[in-house]
Amino acid sequence: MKRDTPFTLLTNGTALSWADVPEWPLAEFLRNVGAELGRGERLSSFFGVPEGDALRLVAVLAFDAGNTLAVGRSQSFSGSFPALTATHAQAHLFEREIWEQHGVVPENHPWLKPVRKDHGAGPAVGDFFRVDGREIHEVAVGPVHAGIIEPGHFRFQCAGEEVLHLEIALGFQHRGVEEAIAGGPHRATVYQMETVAGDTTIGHATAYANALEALAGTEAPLRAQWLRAIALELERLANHTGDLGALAGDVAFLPTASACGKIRGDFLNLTALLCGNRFGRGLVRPGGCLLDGDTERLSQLRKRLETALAEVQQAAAWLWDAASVRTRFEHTGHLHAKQAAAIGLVGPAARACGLVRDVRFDHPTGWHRFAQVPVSVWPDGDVFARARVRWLEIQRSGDFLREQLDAVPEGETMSSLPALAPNSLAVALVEGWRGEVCHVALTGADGKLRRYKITDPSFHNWTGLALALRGQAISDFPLCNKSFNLSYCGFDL
Amino acid sequence: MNLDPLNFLGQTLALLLLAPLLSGCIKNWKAKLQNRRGPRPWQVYFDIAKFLRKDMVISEHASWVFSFAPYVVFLTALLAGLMVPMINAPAPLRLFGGVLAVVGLLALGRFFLALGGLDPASAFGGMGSSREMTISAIAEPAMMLAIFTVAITAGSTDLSQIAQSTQSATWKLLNPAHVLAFAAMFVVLLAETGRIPVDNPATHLELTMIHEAMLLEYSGRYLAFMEWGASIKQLVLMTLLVNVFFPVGLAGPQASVAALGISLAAYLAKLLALSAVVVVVETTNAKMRLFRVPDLLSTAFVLAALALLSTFLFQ
Repeated sequence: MKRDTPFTLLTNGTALSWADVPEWPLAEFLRNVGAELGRGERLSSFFGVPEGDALRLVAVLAFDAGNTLAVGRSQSFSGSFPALTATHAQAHLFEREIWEQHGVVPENHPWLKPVRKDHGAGPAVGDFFRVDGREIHEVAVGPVHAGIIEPGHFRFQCAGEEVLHLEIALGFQHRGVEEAIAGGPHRATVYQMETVAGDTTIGHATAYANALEALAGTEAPLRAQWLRAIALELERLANHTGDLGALAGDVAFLPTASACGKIRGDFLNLTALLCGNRFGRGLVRPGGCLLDGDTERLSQLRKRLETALAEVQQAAAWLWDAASVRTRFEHTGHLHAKQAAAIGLVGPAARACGLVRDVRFDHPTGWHRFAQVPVSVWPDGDVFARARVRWLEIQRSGDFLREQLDAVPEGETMSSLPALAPNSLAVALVEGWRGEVCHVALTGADGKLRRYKITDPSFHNWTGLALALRGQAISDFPLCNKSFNLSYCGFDL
Repeated sequence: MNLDPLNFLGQTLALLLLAPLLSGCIKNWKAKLQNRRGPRPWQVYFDIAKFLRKDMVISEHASWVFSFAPYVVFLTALLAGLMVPMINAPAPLRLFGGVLAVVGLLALGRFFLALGGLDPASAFGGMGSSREMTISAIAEPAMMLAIFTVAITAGSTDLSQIAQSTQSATWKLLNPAHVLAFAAMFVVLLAETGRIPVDNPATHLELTMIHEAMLLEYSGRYLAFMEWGASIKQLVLMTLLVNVFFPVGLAGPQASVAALGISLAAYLAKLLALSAVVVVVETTNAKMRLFRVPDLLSTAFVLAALALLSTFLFQ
C-alpha cells in the first residue's frame, strides 16, 4: 500500500543508501515525525547520529497497516531541540536517551532525567515523582530483590494499599553494547548480540544477522532462514511456558507453577538438541546458521515437541480451570488500548490490549514470508489477557513447528557474507517472544558500522507496566510485573 | 488452679517438639503434591537450630519493642497451648475465662508481632502489620463466635469441660450448629496460620506478604523464636479444632497409660488428617487478592454467627 508520506519507505530487513534517507531541517523533521505519530503510526526507533560536534536525529517509523517501515533524518544541529514527548508519549524514553547519549536537550520535555547512566550516585538516587499528603507513603523496592531476578529500582507512591504512581529506575546493567559495536563488526560483536537480552538470544542474533545481510546485499540460505524461524518459536515456547508458570507461582497456584518450570526446561532442551545450547547461543550468524540438525535429530525434536506440548496443555488446563486463579487475574493491572497505543506498546503485552501488532505478520522477513503464524489477540488488557495471549501463542507456535518440522527444506545453512555496503542504513525487525526487536545499522564511508541502534521490546513496554499499576493494590505489583516480564539488561544495553 | 507437674511438663514438651514437625510435614506434603521431593519433615528443627546459633543483625532504628516481641510471641503461643487439652482432658493450665484467655493470649502475641513489624520502620514490615491487623479484626470475632457455639452446648467456656462434654452420649457430631462452627473455625485457621487463600508462607515477594513481611527484619535467635512461636500457634489452633469438634479418643482425668497411648494415637491421626486437608486446600487454590480476604473472613464470621443462632433454633 502506497501512502502519501515525505518519508522514504523500505521493507523490513532491507537496506538503503544513507543519501536516500530524506533530510530535513530540524523543525521540519520533528513536524513530519509528529504528523506521522499523530496519524497513529508507531515509533520503532529514534536516535542520534553524531557528526563531528553536531548531531543528526534519525526516526524509524513502522506503518503496520501498510507493512512498511519509514525512515527520515534531520540536518545536523547542536544545542537543543523541541521535545516531541509533550505531544507524543511514544517519544518519551527515546528523547531522554538522546539527551543522555549526546547531550542535546529536548526542550519542554516533561520528565527529563537519565535513562541508564548514574552520574556517579546510582540510578536509584535522584529525583523521583512525589505525591504529597499526610496519608501518602513511599515504598522503595530494589535494586536488590528477594528472588533471583535482575536489578531494577521501583519507587511507589501509595495511599494505603493503593498505588498512585510508580516510577521505574533502571540502568544497573548498562554495559555499553551500542558503543562497543562502533567501528565493527568486531569478532566479539555476534556474541554481544546474543547476550543483549539473554532470554532473547535468537531474537537479537537474528535481527543482527538480518541487518548485516541487508547491508551486504545478500540473504541467508533458505534452510538457515527456516532454522532461525524454528529456533525463534522454540524460544517463544520456552519463555511463554515459563511465564505461565511464574504467573501461577505469583498467585500461589502451585500445580501449574511447578509443572511449567519443568516443561520450560524441556523446551530449552529442544533448542539444545538443535544447536547444543539451551538458549540458542552459537546458532545464528550473519550469513546463515552455524549449526544444522540432521534428519535423526529433527525427528527426535518433533517427537519430544509433541510430549512437551501435551504436558503444557495439561498444566495450562489446571490454570484456566481454577476459579481462584481467574478471579485473581481478571481486572488486575488493566491497561487501556488507547494508552497502549499512545505509549507504543509492543509484543504480547500490546496484543493483550487488543492491538493487532506482530512483526511476523506486519513486517515478515526470512521464513515468515512463506509461513504465517496467526496473530494472537485478547481484548481486555489485564493480567488475564496477557496470560491468555501467551497461551494462544504457545498453541500457535506449537502448530507452526509441527507444520514446519513435517516439511523440512533442503540445502546449505551457511553462505559467506560479502563486505558491507558503505554509507548505507539497514533496519531489521524481529518479533522476539517479548515483542519487537529493532536493530538499525548505519555504515560509514569505510564500510564499517558507524552507528548501531538496538531497541529491545522492553524499552517500549516498561512505561506500560508503570501505567498498569496506577490505582492497583501494591500487593498486585509482583503479579503485574510478571505478566509483562520485561528485560532489564535488554533495556540497559 | 491445680497443677499436675507431669501433665504440665508433658504438654510443654509436646507443644515445643510437635509443632515444628507438623509444619515440616505440611511443607513436605505440599512438595509431594507438586511432584517435588521437598524438604524432609524434620528440616524445621534444623532450621530453628541454625537460627539459634546465628548472629543477629538489628536495625539501628529498632527499639526495645523489637527485641521484646519475639519472646512475647513465643510465650503467649506456648501458654495458650497449655490451656488447650491435647491428649488428656483437664489441660495443664486452667486460667479463669477458659477459651477467652486463649483468644486473649493469642491476640497479645499478635499485637506484639505487629509492633515488632512496625518498630524498625521498614516499608515492608509496616505493610505486613497493617494487613495482619485488618485480617485479625475479622478473624478474631469469627473464632470467638465459633467457640461460643460449642461453649453454649457444653454449658461452659472451659476448654477441658467442653472437650469432655463433647464426648458424652447426648452430643451429636452432625449438629448443624457444629458443622457451621467447624467451617468457620477452619477458615480462621487458614487465616491465622498464614495459609494459601489468605497468605503464602513460601513466597519471596515482599510486596504480597502478610506474616512474613513482619519477620523480614528479624534474624538469628529472634527469628528462631518467631518461627517457633508461629508453628506452636498453628499447632494450638489445630488442636483446638480437632479436640473440640472431634474429641474421639481424648483421655479423661486419671487415665491409664494405655488410655493415654490410645489418646495420643488418635490425636496424631486427627492432626495429620487436618493437615492433609490444609495441604489439599493450599495446593488446589490460588492466593486471594488482598482486598478479597475480608470477604472470605466475613463469610467465616457469618457462618459462626449462624452457628450460634442455630444452637438456639435446633435445641
